[in-house]
Amino acid sequence: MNKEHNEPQQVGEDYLDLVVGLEKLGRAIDSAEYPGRAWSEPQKSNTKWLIRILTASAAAAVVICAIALHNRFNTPEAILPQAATTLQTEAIAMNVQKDEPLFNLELPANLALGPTRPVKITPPTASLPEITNISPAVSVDFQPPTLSSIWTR
Amino acid sequence: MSPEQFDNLMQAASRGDKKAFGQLANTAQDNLYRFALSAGLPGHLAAEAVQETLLRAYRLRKKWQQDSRAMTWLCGIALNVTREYRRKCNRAETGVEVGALIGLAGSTNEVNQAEHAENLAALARALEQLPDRQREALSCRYLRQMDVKTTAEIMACAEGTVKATTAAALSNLRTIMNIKIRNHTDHSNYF
Repeated sequence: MNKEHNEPQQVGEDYLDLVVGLEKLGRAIDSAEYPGRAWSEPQKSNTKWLIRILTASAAAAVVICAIALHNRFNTPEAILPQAATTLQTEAIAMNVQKDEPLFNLELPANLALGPTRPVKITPPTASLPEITNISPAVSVDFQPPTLSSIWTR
Repeated sequence: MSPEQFDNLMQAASRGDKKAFGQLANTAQDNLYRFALSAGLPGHLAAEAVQETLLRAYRLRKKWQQDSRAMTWLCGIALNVTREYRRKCNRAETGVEVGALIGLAGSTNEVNQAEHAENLAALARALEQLPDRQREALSCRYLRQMDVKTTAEIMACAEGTVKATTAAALSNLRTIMNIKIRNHTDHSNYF
């Protein structure tokens, strides 16, 4: 009789012991602190920025290449034949003869080339003769382009 | 920080406030670490599980629904993560590292401390012998001191299931621990 009476009490004590033990284990765990570093933004955002920078660099490289190619095909050497063709077309439209100058260039009278008074230049060595009284007469031999000269280009 | 303040942070984070999520993570990381330790992960894996939990929470932050507590939601994610980690790691590695924890808690008497640690370690080993669901229920209810409703939310089951699982777990644990308790001379001070 005594044994039957004590058995449920014993079971109850066992459960109580277990619960107390579990709570003590829980308290022991409560003393633990997270050993890792504090939270920081996931690395994905850095990767995103890296991808953005690379994309921008690639776009800049494409633009630079495009500008370079554009300049390569629009140099004076590339433009000159086109300009000549345009000039020829305009000359034909204006009924300009083949050997007639396309325009006349007349220098104004006051535009004298060279010094107007003698200049004495001392040479670095005595052996060389002194150059004195340099003539101001400098002629400009300018031939305006003719239609035939353009044709020959 | 109160649960309401924690929920407010989560609400701000779910709207795209990254600083709020950072503050929330720094607040929650100790709790999540203890949760992972309670689930029987060793210290280094528990720390990894915290990182993984926070990363998943960061990705899913916009899906958080306001009808549940943010901390409960985080613990739900942590439970899934700890299950995965337990499956991956060796069975011998799992179990609460009582020795290290008792050292942290501190004790005045070295003899008592050793005896106390030994008894708690025996309890931790007995916990490891339980089926996963029963161990999780005991871990939430007694190691983390959660109520039945919160435990049911974390375990994604009904409250009645939690009560039944906890009762079955205690019964199994008593059977496993019975011999040790009976053999102990001073029964009242076993734990």
